[in-house]
Parts: sequence; C-alpha cells; structure tokens
Amino acid sequence: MIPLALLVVWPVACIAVAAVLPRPRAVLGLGVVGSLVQVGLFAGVARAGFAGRTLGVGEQLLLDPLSAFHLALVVTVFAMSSIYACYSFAPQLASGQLTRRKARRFGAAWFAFLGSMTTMLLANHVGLMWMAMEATTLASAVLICLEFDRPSLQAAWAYLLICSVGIALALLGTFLLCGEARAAAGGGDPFLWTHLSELAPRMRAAPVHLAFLFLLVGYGTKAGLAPMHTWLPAAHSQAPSPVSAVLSGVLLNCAIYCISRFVPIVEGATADAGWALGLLVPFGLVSIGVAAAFIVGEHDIKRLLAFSSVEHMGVIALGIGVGGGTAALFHTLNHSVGKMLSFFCAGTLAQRFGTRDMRQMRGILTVGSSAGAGVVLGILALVGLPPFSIFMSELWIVKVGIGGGRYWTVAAFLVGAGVVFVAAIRHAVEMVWKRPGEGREPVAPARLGWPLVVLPLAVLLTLGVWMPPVVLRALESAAAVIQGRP
Amino acid sequence: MSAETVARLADLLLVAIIALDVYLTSTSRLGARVRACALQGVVHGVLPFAVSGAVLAQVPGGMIHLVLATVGTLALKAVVIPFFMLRAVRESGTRREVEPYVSLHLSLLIAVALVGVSFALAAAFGPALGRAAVPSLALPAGLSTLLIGMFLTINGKTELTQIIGYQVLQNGVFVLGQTLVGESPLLVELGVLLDVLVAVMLTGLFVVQLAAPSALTAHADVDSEEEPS
Repeated sequence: MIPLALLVVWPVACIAVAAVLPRPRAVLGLGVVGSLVQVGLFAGVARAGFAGRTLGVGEQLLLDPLSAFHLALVVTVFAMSSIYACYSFAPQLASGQLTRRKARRFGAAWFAFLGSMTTMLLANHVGLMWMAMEATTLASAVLICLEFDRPSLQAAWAYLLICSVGIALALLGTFLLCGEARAAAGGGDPFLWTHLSELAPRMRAAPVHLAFLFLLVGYGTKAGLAPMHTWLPAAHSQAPSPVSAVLSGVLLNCAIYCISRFVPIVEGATADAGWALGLLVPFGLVSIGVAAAFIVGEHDIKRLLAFSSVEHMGVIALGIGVGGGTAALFHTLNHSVGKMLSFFCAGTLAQRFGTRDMRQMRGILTVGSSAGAGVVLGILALVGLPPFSIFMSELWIVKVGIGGGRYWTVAAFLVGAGVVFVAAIRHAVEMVWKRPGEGREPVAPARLGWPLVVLPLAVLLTLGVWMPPVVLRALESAAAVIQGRP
Repeated sequence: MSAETVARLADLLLVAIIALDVYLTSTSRLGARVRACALQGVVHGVLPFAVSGAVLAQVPGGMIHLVLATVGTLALKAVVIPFFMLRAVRESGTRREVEPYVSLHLSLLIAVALVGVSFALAAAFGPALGRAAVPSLALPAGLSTLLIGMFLTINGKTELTQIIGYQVLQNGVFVLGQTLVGESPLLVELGVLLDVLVAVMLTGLFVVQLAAPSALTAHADVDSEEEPS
C-alpha cells in the first residue's frame, strides 16, 4: 500500500514545480496531470481506508472511512476542475491575459489548496487539522483574487478575515476540548483523534459543551452555515469558476467534516444525550431559510449557486442533526457533484455572454454549447427534482426526521426547500425562454468539453434511481464514524 | 523563585495584558496599535514560564519545549510580524484609523465594559472549567483580549485595523490556551504562528492592491470600475 504521507508530499512537490514553469499553458497542464496523479495515489489507499483505520507518520496521519469518503470527493472534484480550468482559461491564454506570473500564482495556490485540504482530511492530530484548515483559507484567498480587480480583492479580503476570525474561535474550542481531555488523563495523547474517542467518556460535560459551541461557530463559519455565511456569496461568485467549483463543491464539506468529527467525542462525553446533534438542527434550518430568502431576488448566476450552497450545507447539518448520518453523507456526495457541474456550466455561460446577470442571458439552450443544457439540468438537480439523486437524499433525510418524530423541523425544511425550488426554477426558465427583445446575444466564444457535463449528470441520474451496494457500504461505514462506532 | 513570587509574576503579566487591551482601543494611531499588539505577544510569550514553568521543569524535555515555543513566539510576534505591519502602515500612508464606526471615546467605554463582562463570565464559568493550577486572572484576561480583539476587528474600517484586531484576538486565544490547557504541543503553537504570519503577509498584499483607504466602503462605485477600459 502507498504510504499516506505521499498524498501530502505530492501536492507540495507540484507547488514547487508550478512556481518555476516557464509557460502558462504548461501550468494548466501540470494542474491536470498533478491532480490526476493525486486521484491515483488516493485510489491506492482507498480500499484500506474504507475498510478500517490506517495510520501514517507515527500516529500523525489517519485514514478512516469518514476521511476516505471526503478525500474521494476532494481528489475527484479537483481533477475535474483542473480539466475545466483548461477550458475556462483558454480565452485568457489566447489573448495573453494569462501572464506567466498569474499562471504561476494560480498553479502554486491551486496545489497549496489541494495539499492543505488533503492534509486536513488526513490529520489525526487535532492541531494539525486546524492548521491545515487555516491554510486552505490562505491558499484559496489567493485564488479568489487571481484577477486582482477591486471586487475580487474585496471578496477575498472579507473571506480571509471572517474565516480567520471564525477559525480562531475553533482553535479556542480545540484548546478547551483537549485541555479537558488532558485533565481526564488516563494516558494517551489528548490531541489525537484515535485517543480522544477513548478519553471522551471520562470528560466532564460542562467544558465539553463550551468547547463544542466554539468549534461549531468556528468551523461553521468556514462551512457557510448561516448566520456566519456573509462572506460566502461574494467569495464564491468573484473567484474564477474552476475555483468556485472547488470552494462550493468540496471546501464547505471539509468544514462540515471537522464538525462531524467532534460530534461523537461530545456525545461520548455527555452519555449520548443528543446535545451536539440538537445544536446542528437550528443552524441547518436557519441556513436553509436564509438561502431561500436570498435566492428569490438573486440575478447573478454564480451568487445564486453560492446561496444554494448555503442551503445545502444547512440540509447536511440538519441531516446529521436528526441522526441521519448516512443520508447526510449521501447528500454531501450529490451536492458536490451537482454544484461542480453547475459552476462549470455557469462559468462558461458567463464567459459567453460577458456577464453573470441571468436577466441578460437568453436562449441558453441554443447557443451551441453543452453549458446551457448543463446549467438548466444542474439547477433542476440542485433544487431536488426527481429523478436526480439530490431528491433521493433529501427524501431520505425527511424520512429519518419523520421517523424521529421531528415533524416541525421537517415542515420548516420542506417550506425552505419549496421556496428555493420555485425561485430557482423560475430563474432557469427565464434564461431559456425570454420574450423577444430581452437579454443579449452571446458576445464571446467559450467552450466546454461535453464529458465535463455528461459525467456528473450521469452520476446524479444513476444515484437517483439505483444505489450501488459499494457506494452504500462506503456511506454506511463513514456514517458509523460520526455515530461513534468506528 | 518561590511559588508565591511566581504566582505574583503571572498575575502581573495578566494585568499587563488587560491594560494593553484597553490601551489598544484608546489610541487611533496605527503604529501605536501595532506596537501594543507586539508587546502583548511578548507578554503572552513569557507567560507560560510563570504559569506552568515549575511543573514543566520536572518533565523530561519540558524546559526545552517551553524555551523553543517562547523563542518562536517572540521572534514572530515581536519582530517579524510587527516589521511587516509597520511597513504596511508606512506604505498605505494611513497613520490613523479614519472614521471608525464607533468613536474613540465610546470604544474606550466599550472596552472597559468588555473587561467587566469578562470578569463576570469568568466568575460564572470559571468553577466549571478551572483546574487548581490556573491563576485566577487568566480566564478574565484571556476572555477580555478575545472580546476586545473581536471588537477591534468589527470596528475597524481599513484592512490594517482589522488585521490588528485579528492579531489581538489570536493573542486572546493563546492566553486562554496556555492557561487552561497547560502546555500545548510545540507543533501546534508554531504552526498557528506560521498561519498568522502568512495572513499578515497577505494583508500587506491586499493593502498595496486596495491602496485607497476607502476601498472597502466603495461598493457603490464598483459597477463603474468593473467595465474594461
């Protein structure tokens, strides 16, 4: 088996290469090759990861079903986005706007982003996880303001500051939790996940509660849970589209991953009273409500997708909160694929029309690219239309909620999802059929390879009608970690 | 040193941290704020010696760990980061915080109120959290630094004042971490410092790019500037 450390070292090596490559085209090529190699490296450890715990570098790195599940999404979305980057930057490359400096900055930050996310997911050390999480903020802030124009700089600055403050609170939560674990004593390193779960039953409830509040608000800021989501719409819409796809598709999941890792520790310390899970539900509902309210009046297509991410993070938090870990992880998978697809297509359309304003786009199905159809189908999938798999995972969460007797929670969720459904479909319909005289014709050529549209759609459709046993097993073993049964 | 002297020294350092919190809100000169923030870094860098030095001296390798962590903290928080910050202040041409949301007088009052709130919170939650060895002032000092750092971040209108607020907030997290947790692993402390350093360096970049001090309030004219010229 491949040592886990190789997955951390490889992106770092790519940073060094990207920083010295002579031609912008070569940097984009390195992006594709480097991230595909990362997929290969992950494939080498995946089987062991889903089967049980694997340790690396002493006890500093850990791969278990939960981290393997998230890592699978990260490497896949990164590889697809690297391929999309070649299409997305093609016009800039042709016109010479993608200078050598800019390309090197992109390449280095891109692999720093991949490396920090991989390290975060593989960390067995709670402090290392925190550091890698802050590193993802730093690397992606550079990517958001790649263009160096004023709106993107402002968005990147707000992102950097708000998330850094949030993460600082998570550090305090980490200190509180590990301090309590140390006081509980009984040997074992209080900073390692593998030992924390054993120490949990001996910790006192009050300090653990306080610690989890800080952790939830801190990592929740990074996950875009309302009301800490204020940085998200600007950052996700100002970033270059390949970056938006990664930010929305997997970085938000990673923050949820951090929270869900702490849940079984807190539950273990409080005799499984459901206290931590109960806190996730209101955050989830508020996120869904806020997103629904803002999607109604949103005309910027990338901001629309960003608010949709706030909604889906809320759904995932809600799913974990009502006790449906498997359903929430299934939803995580569906959302990542759907959001990646939508950002690919929305980015291509925005380039074609020279604007992100949906009111200015017309006849998107007939502009001669798969992007138009992709964006419509992507939005339909994201709002939860059957037979796409997001419908299935949302239905699953509803079933778990009703089974647990949480009727009001489910009702609130359905109202929010209903508002999003109507509002987003209205936007999609208007982009396809507009009255004559409204909107503008495409201005610039922008291409999108059809496999980038067809592959994600195929995944969403397949999972919508049939759950392959191997996927179900992976989801269940990952959910078992959240429920404290590793 | 006797145990009593050490405890008194720890209290003295913690009082200095609270005093610096209040000073930070009472001055609008950016250079003074950077220096006060750096001084706070120095104080929390040596704090572990007073709080847990006696315990650590008996652990094998404990003293080396303590010295390394302190040297790292001092080098970054007292030398490297202030150097970058002061250069950014010079390059931006802003000497003072212009038009904070809350006036200087009012923010001083708020700071004092926040210190009071911290003492109240510490009195309420302290018994549930505390361990025997923690100095009584540690919790209020850490909390007030945290709260005042957050206030400075929110109240600042320029990138520089916001990042100073963030550093104060980080100081607060460290004071709480050092006093409540005992020693944290070297790896964590140095790694956190490294992240803070990169954040500060990125800020320098943002300050240069968003050169105008009113950049963050310029949302209204974004549309006109967005058009390619």
